Amino acid sequence: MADGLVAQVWSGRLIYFLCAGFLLFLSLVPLGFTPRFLPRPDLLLGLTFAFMLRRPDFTPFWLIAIIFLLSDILLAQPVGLWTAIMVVTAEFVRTQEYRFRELAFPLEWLFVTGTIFLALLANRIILSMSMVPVAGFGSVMLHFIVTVIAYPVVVFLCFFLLRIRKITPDEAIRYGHRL
Amino acid sequence: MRGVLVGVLVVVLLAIFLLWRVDNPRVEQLRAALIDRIVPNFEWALVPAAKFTNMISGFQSYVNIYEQNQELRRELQRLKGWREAALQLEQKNAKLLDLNNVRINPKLTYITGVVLTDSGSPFRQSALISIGRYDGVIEGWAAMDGLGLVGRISGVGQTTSRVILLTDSNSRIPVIIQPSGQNAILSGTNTPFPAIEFLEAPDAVHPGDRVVSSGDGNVFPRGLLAGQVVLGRNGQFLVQLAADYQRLEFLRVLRATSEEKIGVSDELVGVGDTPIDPKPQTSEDDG
Repeated sequence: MADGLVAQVWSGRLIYFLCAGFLLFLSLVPLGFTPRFLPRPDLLLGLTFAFMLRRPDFTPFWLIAIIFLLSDILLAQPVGLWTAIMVVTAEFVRTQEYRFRELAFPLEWLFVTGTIFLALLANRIILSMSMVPVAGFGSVMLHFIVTVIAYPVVVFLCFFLLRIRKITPDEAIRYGHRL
Repeated sequence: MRGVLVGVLVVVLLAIFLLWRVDNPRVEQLRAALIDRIVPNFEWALVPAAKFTNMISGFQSYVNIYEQNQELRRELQRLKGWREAALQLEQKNAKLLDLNNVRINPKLTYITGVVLTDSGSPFRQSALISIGRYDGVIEGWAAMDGLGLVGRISGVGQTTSRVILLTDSNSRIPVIIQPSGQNAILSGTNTPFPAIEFLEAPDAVHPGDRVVSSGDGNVFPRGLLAGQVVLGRNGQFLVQLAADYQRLEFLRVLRATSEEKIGVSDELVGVGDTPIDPKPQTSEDDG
């Protein structure tokens, strides 16, 4: 039984890693270099939140650090800051996960929206404090809105393609999660 | 225990960020080296993925191919006229140059690279190309597609290098607006149309004027076509880029030939410690 559980957790982590890698790959495919009015949503962020609120054991903090550090490096962003913010955010979401097991999806959506907003705000404040040029406020807001709108779709795909769903109280006891 | 680990990790990450902020060039070099290790492994998938998506959008435009054909014919007709004018001008120019006994700059040579990735972030406009230090690429060189300026090399790995596009909000290029000959700065705004800034006499500039690189500050060679002036909605002058940003597949990176600097005013130029090389640079085109 314990062995089966360990295998399940590690295969879940592998799935998260592969999905995140695939999303990074997709964002790098060179498709036209005209800046578009509507930016593509940050699916990696959505994926991470969807996993955190369903199977926090699939997204340990070190895996999140690896994925986001990789995205910082590949996407030409300031190295390390967004990763640090995401590790802290993930730890915060992990402590809140048990509240959302029984709640309806809109509440989860609201929570995710607020958390992403705070994370972006922290990122922006630290960047401007350290005199790094930041992108225009309007375009960042637009990106934020698009990302939030895409979140239900990500959750839906996680459920139907990857079979990632919320854990029941019974499973929580079995996996040794907080109740 | 776990909390301590997370804390240590966050501190390390913030230290990396601080290092990036303080010693930017070194960390950026590290980044270029890492990208150099990672991205070429996926070249086999990146290029076909882009081709496939472009094919789908190609099928969508199949419908209006007839109209496109008609339009192309008309355009061809117009261009024939231009070609005639260009030929005459070329002959005239050659004659005038001969009369003046002008020596033209050694011909610009270039290396061609395949576009591997775009920046992946909606706030950055850059591209990764498949040539790097091994091919002799140096930071700051100009990148063009067949027709117009595309951007500037910023970040060179061993086999890859990054091109900051003219549309990126960090891109600033000194340009001249022809025919009025005014100097200005072409600055990216993260929109398809970069803005013209620091114009001395805006009255002398009209929509349709050609914008070419000025070579000031030794950023770029002179006279590379960037695009045409268009009038923005709020009356600001913008540039419609000549390069086809929708279909960047290959980029030409121009080898910049550093010009001889004349620093002293009362000595003979070229006499002394710098011998003059009478041979013009050999041109070797890989593209």
